[in-house]
Amino acid sequence: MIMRKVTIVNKAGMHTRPASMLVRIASKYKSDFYIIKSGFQINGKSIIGVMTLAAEQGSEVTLKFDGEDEEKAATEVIKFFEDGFGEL
Amino acid sequence: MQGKEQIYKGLAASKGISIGKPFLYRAEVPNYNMDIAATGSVSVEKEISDYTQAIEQSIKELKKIFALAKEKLDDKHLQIFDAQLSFLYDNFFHSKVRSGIEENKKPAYEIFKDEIKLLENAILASGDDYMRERVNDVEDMKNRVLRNLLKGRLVSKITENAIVIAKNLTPADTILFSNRNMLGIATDLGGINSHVAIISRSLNIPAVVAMRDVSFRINQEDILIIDGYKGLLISNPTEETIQSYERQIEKNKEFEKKLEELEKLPSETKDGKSIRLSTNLEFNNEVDYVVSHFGCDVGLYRTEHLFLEIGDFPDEEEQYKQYKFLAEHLYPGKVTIRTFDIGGDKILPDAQKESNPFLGWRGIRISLDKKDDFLTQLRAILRASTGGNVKIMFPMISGVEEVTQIIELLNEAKARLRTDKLRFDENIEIGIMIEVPSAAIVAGDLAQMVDFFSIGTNDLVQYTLAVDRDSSLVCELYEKFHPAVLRMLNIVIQGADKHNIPVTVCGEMASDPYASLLLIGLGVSELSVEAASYLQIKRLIRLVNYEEAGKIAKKVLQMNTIKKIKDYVEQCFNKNIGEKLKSYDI
Repeated sequence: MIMRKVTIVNKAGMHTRPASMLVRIASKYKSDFYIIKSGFQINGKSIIGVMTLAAEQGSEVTLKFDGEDEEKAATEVIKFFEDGFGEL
Repeated sequence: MQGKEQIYKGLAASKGISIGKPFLYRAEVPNYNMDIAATGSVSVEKEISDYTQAIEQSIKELKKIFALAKEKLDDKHLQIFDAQLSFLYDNFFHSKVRSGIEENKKPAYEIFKDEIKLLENAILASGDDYMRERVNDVEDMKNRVLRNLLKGRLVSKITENAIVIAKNLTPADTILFSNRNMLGIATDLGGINSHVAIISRSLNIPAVVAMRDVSFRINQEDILIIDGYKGLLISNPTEETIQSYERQIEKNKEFEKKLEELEKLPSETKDGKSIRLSTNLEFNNEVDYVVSHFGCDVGLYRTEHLFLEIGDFPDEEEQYKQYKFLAEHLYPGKVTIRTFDIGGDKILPDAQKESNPFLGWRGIRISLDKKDDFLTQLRAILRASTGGNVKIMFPMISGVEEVTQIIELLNEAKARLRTDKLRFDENIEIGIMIEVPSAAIVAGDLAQMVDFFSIGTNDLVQYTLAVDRDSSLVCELYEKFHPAVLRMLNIVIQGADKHNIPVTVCGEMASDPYASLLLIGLGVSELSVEAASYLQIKRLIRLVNYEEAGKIAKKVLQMNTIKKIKDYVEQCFNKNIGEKLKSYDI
């Protein structure tokens, strides 16, 4: 299992477009993917789950990957967060 | 076989006439509670399979809309549909709904609604206004699924060649319908600037909006005539009415062909006074048409759509690309770019909900509060001005202080560009919209500060008369021939004349033949009209005698009722121009 803390850096936060891209990326991998924010854990492969996080710019979330290809999944997803969902 | 001829009146939103059968479109979810209560207990298995089917059907529909939208819209517009699709592919969510059905033994639509409500609440609880806006994305998806779950009327079943009758239409509905050879659209709600109206105009089909409860009054068997010129919907017309409209359709066709002869002729009055004629423009795909057919200036380029597409202020490069595209394609024609006129009827995510949005935070007021975003737009426009054919215009000006601030900010933008070694037109002209009565009254002072005025008649009339033209209850009081409106226009034109700056009229008033006769008479130097009216108005200008129009305007300014003015203008119009206009000769 891999856990990593990341910060939402883009201006608009986790809105619909990045949420749907995130789900698409995560769904390519077999590993389970969860996002934890202020104690809540949601399934990162569910866009509706990701949207309920309502993560704004500056909020910190923890990403959790668990499964056979967790390393590959973690690399790509973390990069997506660090790049501000391509909105920087 | 049918009932009596009935005439329903609304607002004319898009020109044209069609005769045909109605397609009654009811998007709202019907109340199925009664039916469900009657059937007794819920079959979990059936509810789950219904749910799966409804989701599949929704995906199918949305994919179709998505494919259509791809042809007609750009990437930014597409994202909204793309996001809705990904909601529908959310298996995690679906499994929650399924287990909800199993546990509670409740119908699928109830569980689905509850789950969506949880999502909406979570989004709404977010402190971020942008996120809150996203609730709309969910809403459209929710309605689609519910409609399918409840086996309501499906959009895809729309018959070809029908007049669509609806309470209101969403953007998704309108785009889907657009591929179905609609003959026209009539809606209960909506204003002349609503989405339906704008799309109808660009598709060139007649539309009438704000018809109150027409969608409840029309029956599937009715024969309808939609008259997008007069804003009428006629059900069960008599043979006589049908024939008269058929003749008109025939004539309109011939006439439109003839109008093209006007493309090459100059825009000047019978006695040789040149009246500049330009078009209003909003979307890039209109540019080629304007250039190749009219070769005229663009008197008003609205930038709001750049904002609305992404729900935020676009960055400098993005704006620069747009403005540059326009300036280059229209060259040597000129383009007047108006800075963002958002707020009011359009939604700004940062805005607090105002009880009077038209009297609230909109246009230049937003720009002056959000200086960084304003400077970004000014830089982008300035950078696109290197060809010397770009002008800047500012909306919703109400007094001298605002213009002073604008000029300071414009100078700051210019200074920064010089530091960055970026080129722009040092002599770029700036103008202001005169659409608030306070600005009209101090027009003489404002005229010293800018290079031109552009009168936005739609708002000026609405603010002068305190009438919301989108309110179907009072829109009949919206009257451009009100003596106060005409005198207000006269004050503006005189103020401009005192300092020798030109006045353009870019509101709908410029596209109305009677009104444009008066505008010419009052001394307006340029009319900027929607592309669809361009040739009609050129034709009118060429029939007007400038000297006489001046006399008519002078006389009208002395009159004190709408009726006197209308009667007089109509009388003069018919005497001098009417016969010729009616004759269908160019």
